[in-house]
Amino acid sequence: MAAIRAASARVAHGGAPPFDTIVTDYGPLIARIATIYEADPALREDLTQQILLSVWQGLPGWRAESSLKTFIGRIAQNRAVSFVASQAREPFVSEINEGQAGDLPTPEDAVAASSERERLLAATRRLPLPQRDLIVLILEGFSYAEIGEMLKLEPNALRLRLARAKATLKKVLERS
Amino acid sequence: MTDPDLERLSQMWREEPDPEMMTGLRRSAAKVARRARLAQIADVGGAIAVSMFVLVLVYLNSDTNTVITGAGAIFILWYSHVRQRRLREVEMRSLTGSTEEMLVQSFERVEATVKRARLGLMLLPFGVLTGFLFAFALDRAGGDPLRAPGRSDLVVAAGIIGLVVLIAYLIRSIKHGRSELDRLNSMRAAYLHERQQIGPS
Repeated sequence: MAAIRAASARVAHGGAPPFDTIVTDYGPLIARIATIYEADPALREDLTQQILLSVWQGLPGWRAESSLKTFIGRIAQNRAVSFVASQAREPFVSEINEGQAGDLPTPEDAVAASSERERLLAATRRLPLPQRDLIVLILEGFSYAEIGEMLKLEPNALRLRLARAKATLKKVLERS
Repeated sequence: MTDPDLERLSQMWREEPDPEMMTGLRRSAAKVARRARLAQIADVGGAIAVSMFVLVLVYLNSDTNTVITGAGAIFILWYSHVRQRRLREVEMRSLTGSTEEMLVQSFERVEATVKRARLGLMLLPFGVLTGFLFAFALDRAGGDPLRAPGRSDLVVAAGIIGLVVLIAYLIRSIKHGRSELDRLNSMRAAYLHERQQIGPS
Protein backbone atom coordinates (compact mmCIF):
# COMPACT_ATOMS: atom_id res chain seq x y z
CA MET A 1 0.00 0.00 0.00
CA ALA A 2 2.85 2.35 0.90
CA ALA A 3 4.56 1.48 -2.38
CA ILE A 4 1.39 2.30 -4.33
CA ARG A 5 1.04 5.61 -2.51
CA ALA A 6 4.66 6.45 -3.23
CA ALA A 7 4.22 5.59 -6.91
CA SER A 8 1.06 7.72 -7.12
CA ALA A 9 2.86 10.60 -5.49
CA ARG A 10 5.65 10.23 -8.02
CA VAL A 11 3.17 10.30 -10.91
CA ALA A 12 1.42 13.30 -9.36
CA HIS A 13 4.75 15.12 -9.21
CA GLY A 14 5.82 14.49 -12.81
CA GLY A 15 8.48 11.84 -12.15
CA ALA A 16 10.16 13.74 -9.28
CA PRO A 17 10.61 11.95 -5.98
CA PRO A 18 7.77 12.22 -3.46
CA PHE A 19 7.45 15.58 -1.75
CA ASP A 20 8.51 14.30 1.66
CA THR A 21 11.70 12.87 0.14
CA ILE A 22 12.38 16.26 -1.44
CA VAL A 23 11.88 17.97 1.90
CA THR A 24 14.39 15.57 3.52
CA ASP A 25 16.95 16.00 0.72
CA TYR A 26 16.54 19.70 -0.04
CA GLY A 27 14.82 21.08 3.05
CA PRO A 28 18.12 22.35 4.52
CA LEU A 29 18.86 24.16 1.23
CA ILE A 30 15.44 25.82 1.36
CA ALA A 31 15.84 26.74 5.04
CA ARG A 32 19.29 28.25 4.47
CA ILE A 33 18.10 30.34 1.51
CA ALA A 34 15.12 31.57 3.54
CA THR A 35 17.53 32.51 6.36
CA ILE A 36 19.73 34.55 4.01
CA TYR A 37 16.86 36.60 2.59
CA GLU A 38 14.69 37.03 5.65
CA ALA A 39 16.07 37.75 9.11
CA ASP A 40 12.78 38.09 10.99
CA PRO A 41 12.01 34.57 12.35
CA ALA A 42 8.20 34.85 11.99
CA LEU A 43 8.44 36.15 8.42
CA ARG A 44 11.10 33.56 7.65
CA GLU A 45 8.63 30.85 8.61
CA ASP A 46 6.08 32.42 6.18
CA LEU A 47 8.73 32.56 3.47
CA THR A 48 9.76 28.94 4.05
CA GLN A 49 6.14 27.84 3.70
CA GLN A 50 5.74 29.88 0.52
CA ILE A 51 8.87 28.28 -0.93
CA LEU A 52 7.63 24.80 0.02
CA LEU A 53 4.25 25.56 -1.58
CA SER A 54 5.92 26.81 -4.77
CA VAL A 55 8.09 23.69 -4.91
CA TRP A 56 5.01 21.48 -4.40
CA GLN A 57 3.16 23.34 -7.17
CA GLY A 58 6.15 23.38 -9.49
CA LEU A 59 7.15 19.71 -9.22
CA PRO A 60 4.68 18.43 -11.86
CA GLY A 61 6.38 20.80 -14.31
CA TRP A 62 9.91 19.53 -13.65
CA ARG A 63 11.13 17.75 -16.77
CA ALA A 64 14.70 16.85 -15.72
CA GLU A 65 16.17 19.41 -18.15
CA SER A 66 17.98 20.69 -15.08
CA SER A 67 18.83 18.85 -11.88
CA LEU A 68 16.23 18.81 -9.14
CA LYS A 69 18.61 20.76 -6.89
CA THR A 70 18.91 23.48 -9.55
CA PHE A 71 15.15 23.56 -10.01
CA ILE A 72 14.42 23.84 -6.30
CA GLY A 73 17.27 26.29 -5.72
CA ARG A 74 15.86 28.61 -8.41
CA ILE A 75 12.36 28.49 -6.98
CA ALA A 76 13.63 29.09 -3.44
CA GLN A 77 15.80 32.04 -4.42
CA ASN A 78 13.21 33.72 -6.65
CA ARG A 79 10.44 33.21 -4.13
CA ALA A 80 12.68 34.72 -1.44
CA VAL A 81 13.42 37.80 -3.57
CA SER A 82 9.74 38.35 -4.43
CA PHE A 83 8.83 37.85 -0.75
CA VAL A 84 11.27 40.55 0.31
CA ALA A 85 9.85 42.88 -2.38
CA SER A 86 6.30 42.36 -1.13
CA GLN A 87 7.08 43.13 2.53
CA ALA A 88 5.93 46.62 3.51
CA ARG A 89 8.89 47.49 5.72
CA GLU A 90 12.61 48.28 5.60
CA PRO A 91 14.86 45.21 5.32
CA PHE A 92 15.32 43.82 8.81
CA VAL A 93 18.71 42.46 9.79
CA SER A 94 19.02 40.85 13.19
CA GLU A 95 21.46 38.64 15.05
CA ILE A 96 20.61 35.02 14.50
CA ASN A 97 20.74 32.72 17.46
CA GLU A 98 20.92 29.35 15.71
CA GLY A 99 21.88 26.40 17.82
CA GLN A 100 24.61 24.09 16.61
CA ALA A 101 23.81 20.39 16.45
CA GLY A 102 26.03 17.41 15.77
CA ASP A 103 29.43 16.40 17.19
CA LEU A 104 32.00 19.17 17.44
CA PRO A 105 35.53 18.74 18.82
CA THR A 106 35.26 21.25 21.70
CA PRO A 107 32.69 23.68 23.01
CA GLU A 108 35.07 26.54 22.10
CA ASP A 109 35.27 25.25 18.52
CA ALA A 110 31.49 25.10 18.41
CA VAL A 111 31.22 28.72 19.55
CA ALA A 112 33.87 29.82 17.06
CA ALA A 113 32.14 27.99 14.18
CA SER A 114 28.77 29.39 15.22
CA SER A 115 30.25 32.89 15.34
CA GLU A 116 31.95 32.51 12.00
CA ARG A 117 28.76 31.14 10.45
CA GLU A 118 26.76 34.02 11.89
CA ARG A 119 29.33 36.49 10.56
CA LEU A 120 29.08 34.85 7.13
CA LEU A 121 25.28 35.02 7.29
CA ALA A 122 25.30 38.69 8.30
CA ALA A 123 27.89 39.53 5.64
CA THR A 124 25.94 37.73 2.89
CA ARG A 125 22.80 39.63 3.83
CA ARG A 126 24.66 42.90 3.34
CA LEU A 127 25.68 42.10 -0.23
CA PRO A 128 23.87 43.84 -3.12
CA LEU A 129 21.13 41.55 -4.40
CA PRO A 130 22.83 40.36 -7.63
CA GLN A 131 26.03 39.50 -5.73
CA ARG A 132 24.06 37.89 -2.92
CA ASP A 133 22.28 35.61 -5.41
CA LEU A 134 25.63 34.43 -6.71
CA ILE A 135 27.34 33.95 -3.35
CA VAL A 136 24.34 32.00 -2.01
CA LEU A 137 24.58 29.59 -4.93
CA ILE A 138 28.34 29.21 -4.41
CA LEU A 139 27.85 28.53 -0.69
CA GLU A 140 25.18 25.95 -1.56
CA GLY A 141 27.70 24.04 -3.64
CA PHE A 142 26.29 24.63 -7.14
CA SER A 143 28.82 24.27 -9.94
CA TYR A 144 29.77 27.28 -12.08
CA ALA A 145 27.95 25.69 -15.02
CA GLU A 146 24.77 25.31 -12.96
CA ILE A 147 25.07 28.87 -11.64
CA GLY A 148 25.55 30.23 -15.16
CA GLU A 149 22.41 28.38 -16.25
CA MET A 150 20.39 29.55 -13.23
CA LEU A 151 21.42 33.19 -13.46
CA LYS A 152 21.45 33.21 -17.29
CA LEU A 153 25.03 34.47 -17.35
CA GLU A 154 27.70 33.70 -19.92
CA PRO A 155 30.92 32.26 -18.41
CA ASN A 156 32.79 35.57 -18.82
CA ALA A 157 30.05 37.63 -17.16
CA LEU A 158 29.78 35.03 -14.39
CA ARG A 159 33.51 35.19 -13.74
CA LEU A 160 33.41 39.00 -13.52
CA ARG A 161 30.37 39.05 -11.24
CA LEU A 162 31.94 36.39 -9.03
CA ALA A 163 35.15 38.42 -8.71
CA ARG A 164 33.15 41.46 -7.65
CA ALA A 165 31.01 39.43 -5.24
CA LYS A 166 34.04 37.78 -3.61
CA ALA A 167 35.74 41.17 -3.19
CA THR A 168 32.62 42.67 -1.60
CA LEU A 169 32.12 39.65 0.69
CA LYS A 170 35.77 39.77 1.79
CA LYS A 171 35.46 43.49 2.56
CA VAL A 172 32.28 43.00 4.60
CA LEU A 173 33.72 40.02 6.49
CA GLU A 174 36.88 41.94 7.35
CA ARG A 175 34.83 44.89 8.63
CA SER A 176 32.77 42.59 10.84
CA MET B 1 39.18 35.79 -1.39
CA THR B 2 40.45 32.63 -3.02
CA ASP B 3 38.44 29.66 -4.24
CA PRO B 4 39.70 27.49 -1.34
CA ASP B 5 38.43 30.21 1.06
CA LEU B 6 35.00 30.05 -0.56
CA GLU B 7 35.11 26.26 -0.50
CA ARG B 8 35.84 26.33 3.24
CA LEU B 9 33.02 28.82 3.84
CA SER B 10 30.73 26.68 1.72
CA GLN B 11 31.52 23.56 3.78
CA MET B 12 30.90 25.47 6.98
CA TRP B 13 27.70 26.97 5.56
CA ARG B 14 26.30 23.56 4.63
CA GLU B 15 27.14 21.83 7.89
CA GLU B 16 24.79 19.17 9.22
CA PRO B 17 21.35 20.72 9.81
CA ASP B 18 19.90 21.02 13.27
CA PRO B 19 17.58 17.96 13.80
CA GLU B 20 15.03 20.16 15.55
CA MET B 21 14.99 22.48 12.54
CA MET B 22 14.45 19.51 10.22
CA THR B 23 11.55 18.24 12.35
CA GLY B 24 9.92 21.67 12.19
CA LEU B 25 10.53 21.86 8.45
CA ARG B 26 8.96 18.44 7.82
CA ARG B 27 5.95 19.47 9.88
CA SER B 28 5.59 22.72 7.88
CA ALA B 29 5.99 20.84 4.61
CA ALA B 30 3.31 18.31 5.54
CA LYS B 31 0.94 21.15 6.47
CA VAL B 32 1.67 23.00 3.22
CA ALA B 33 1.14 19.88 1.08
CA ARG B 34 -2.11 19.02 2.88
CA ARG B 35 -3.51 22.56 2.43
CA ALA B 36 -2.40 22.68 -1.21
CA ARG B 37 -4.13 19.36 -1.97
CA LEU B 38 -7.33 20.52 -0.25
CA ALA B 39 -7.19 23.85 -2.10
CA GLN B 40 -6.84 22.02 -5.43
CA ILE B 41 -9.81 19.76 -4.64
CA ALA B 42 -11.91 22.71 -3.42
CA ASP B 43 -10.99 24.75 -6.50
CA VAL B 44 -12.10 22.19 -9.06
CA GLY B 45 -14.79 20.63 -6.87
CA GLY B 46 -16.29 24.03 -6.11
CA ALA B 47 -16.43 24.98 -9.78
CA ILE B 48 -18.11 21.65 -10.64
CA ALA B 49 -20.58 21.96 -7.74
CA VAL B 50 -21.57 25.52 -8.67
CA SER B 51 -21.93 24.52 -12.35
CA MET B 52 -24.20 21.60 -11.38
CA PHE B 53 -26.25 23.88 -9.15
CA VAL B 54 -26.72 26.42 -11.95
CA LEU B 55 -27.67 23.62 -14.37
CA VAL B 56 -30.29 22.33 -11.91
CA LEU B 57 -31.71 25.86 -11.49
CA VAL B 58 -31.84 26.28 -15.27
CA TYR B 59 -33.52 22.89 -15.63
CA LEU B 60 -36.14 23.74 -13.00
CA ASN B 61 -36.81 27.25 -14.39
CA SER B 62 -36.15 26.76 -18.07
CA ASP B 63 -36.93 29.78 -20.13
CA THR B 64 -34.74 31.67 -22.59
CA ASN B 65 -33.54 34.29 -20.05
CA THR B 66 -32.64 31.67 -17.44
CA VAL B 67 -30.78 29.52 -19.96
CA ILE B 68 -28.78 32.52 -21.25
CA THR B 69 -28.01 33.74 -17.70
CA GLY B 70 -27.08 30.23 -16.56
CA ALA B 71 -24.86 29.62 -19.58
CA GLY B 72 -23.21 33.01 -19.00
CA ALA B 73 -22.61 32.27 -15.33
CA ILE B 74 -21.04 28.85 -16.10
CA PHE B 75 -18.89 30.36 -18.85
CA ILE B 76 -17.61 33.14 -16.54
CA LEU B 77 -16.94 30.61 -13.76
CA TRP B 78 -14.84 28.28 -15.93
CA TYR B 79 -13.16 31.10 -17.84
CA SER B 80 -12.07 32.55 -14.51
CA HIS B 81 -10.92 29.10 -13.34
CA VAL B 82 -8.85 28.47 -16.49
CA ARG B 83 -7.44 32.00 -16.37
CA GLN B 84 -6.36 31.55 -12.73
CA ARG B 85 -4.64 28.29 -13.67
CA ARG B 86 -2.80 29.96 -16.57
CA LEU B 87 -1.68 32.82 -14.30
CA ARG B 88 -0.32 30.27 -11.82
CA GLU B 89 1.59 28.54 -14.66
CA VAL B 90 3.06 31.88 -15.74
CA GLU B 91 4.06 32.64 -12.17
CA MET B 92 5.66 29.20 -11.83
CA ARG B 93 7.64 29.71 -15.07
CA SER B 94 8.91 33.05 -13.75
CA LEU B 95 10.00 31.37 -10.50
CA THR B 96 12.16 28.89 -12.41
CA GLY B 97 13.74 31.56 -14.64
CA SER B 98 16.40 34.11 -13.76
CA THR B 99 15.77 36.58 -10.93
CA GLU B 100 15.84 39.52 -13.32
CA GLU B 101 13.13 37.96 -15.49
CA MET B 102 11.12 37.22 -12.35
CA LEU B 103 11.45 40.83 -11.19
CA VAL B 104 10.24 42.15 -14.57
CA GLN B 105 7.18 39.87 -14.45
CA SER B 106 6.48 40.73 -10.82
CA PHE B 107 6.68 44.41 -11.67
CA GLU B 108 4.19 43.99 -14.53
CA ARG B 109 1.86 41.95 -12.33
CA VAL B 110 1.87 44.44 -9.44
CA GLU B 111 1.53 47.38 -11.84
CA ALA B 112 -1.55 45.72 -13.39
CA THR B 113 -3.00 45.13 -9.90
CA VAL B 114 -2.50 48.79 -8.94
CA LYS B 115 -4.07 49.96 -12.23
CA ARG B 116 -7.08 47.69 -11.69
CA ALA B 117 -7.52 48.96 -8.12
CA ARG B 118 -7.30 52.61 -9.31
CA LEU B 119 -9.82 51.92 -12.06
CA GLY B 120 -12.12 50.23 -9.55
CA LEU B 121 -11.92 53.26 -7.26
CA MET B 122 -12.68 55.64 -10.14
CA LEU B 123 -15.60 53.60 -11.44
CA LEU B 124 -17.14 52.92 -8.02
CA PRO B 125 -19.17 56.16 -7.84
CA PHE B 126 -20.59 55.45 -11.34
CA GLY B 127 -21.41 51.92 -10.28
CA VAL B 128 -23.24 53.14 -7.19
CA LEU B 129 -25.08 55.79 -9.19
CA THR B 130 -26.08 53.20 -11.81
CA GLY B 131 -27.37 50.97 -9.02
CA PHE B 132 -29.50 53.75 -7.57
CA LEU B 133 -30.88 54.69 -11.00
CA PHE B 134 -31.69 51.04 -11.70
CA ALA B 135 -33.51 50.74 -8.35
CA PHE B 136 -35.34 53.99 -9.09
CA ALA B 137 -36.39 52.77 -12.54
CA LEU B 138 -37.68 49.49 -11.05
CA ASP B 139 -39.69 51.29 -8.41
CA ARG B 140 -40.92 54.31 -10.37
CA ALA B 141 -44.52 53.05 -10.23
CA GLY B 142 -44.78 54.27 -6.64
CA GLY B 143 -43.33 54.36 -3.16
CA ASP B 144 -39.96 55.62 -2.09
CA PRO B 145 -37.81 55.92 -5.26
CA LEU B 146 -34.67 54.88 -3.39
CA ARG B 147 -36.23 51.84 -1.88
CA ALA B 148 -37.24 48.83 -3.95
CA PRO B 149 -40.27 46.88 -2.62
CA GLY B 150 -39.34 44.70 0.40
CA ARG B 151 -35.90 46.23 0.94
CA SER B 152 -35.11 46.98 4.56
CA ASP B 153 -32.90 49.56 6.22
CA LEU B 154 -30.63 46.69 7.26
CA VAL B 155 -29.89 45.78 3.64
CA VAL B 156 -29.19 49.42 2.74
CA ALA B 157 -26.89 49.76 5.79
CA ALA B 158 -25.08 46.53 4.85
CA GLY B 159 -24.66 47.87 1.33
CA ILE B 160 -23.14 51.12 2.61
CA ILE B 161 -20.79 49.26 4.99
CA GLY B 162 -19.78 46.94 2.15
CA LEU B 163 -19.04 49.95 -0.03
CA VAL B 164 -16.88 51.59 2.65
CA VAL B 165 -14.96 48.33 3.21
CA LEU B 166 -14.43 47.98 -0.56
CA ILE B 167 -13.12 51.55 -0.86
CA ALA B 168 -10.76 51.02 2.10
CA TYR B 169 -9.53 47.74 0.56
CA LEU B 170 -8.89 49.38 -2.83
CA ILE B 171 -6.99 52.28 -1.24
CA ARG B 172 -4.89 49.87 0.82
CA SER B 173 -4.20 47.76 -2.30
CA ILE B 174 -2.99 50.83 -4.17
CA LYS B 175 -0.70 51.98 -1.33
CA HIS B 176 0.75 48.51 -0.79
CA GLY B 177 1.15 48.02 -4.54
CA ARG B 178 3.00 51.32 -4.91
CA SER B 179 5.53 50.47 -2.18
CA GLU B 180 6.05 47.03 -3.70
CA LEU B 181 6.65 48.67 -7.10
CA ASP B 182 9.25 50.98 -5.50
CA ARG B 183 11.06 48.01 -3.98
CA LEU B 184 10.90 46.03 -7.24
CA ASN B 185 12.26 49.06 -9.09
CA SER B 186 15.22 49.41 -6.74
CA MET B 187 15.93 45.66 -7.04
CA ARG B 188 15.85 45.91 -10.85
CA ALA B 189 18.14 48.95 -10.64
CA ALA B 190 20.61 46.87 -8.58
CA TYR B 191 20.74 44.23 -11.33
CA LEU B 192 21.07 46.84 -14.04
CA HIS B 193 23.92 48.48 -12.13
CA GLU B 194 25.65 45.10 -11.76
CA ARG B 195 25.30 44.39 -15.51
CA GLN B 196 26.73 47.81 -16.31
CA GLN B 197 29.72 47.11 -14.08
CA ILE B 198 30.54 43.78 -15.72
CA GLY B 199 29.32 44.52 -19.25
CA PRO B 200 26.69 42.55 -21.23
CA SER B 201 26.25 38.81 -20.39
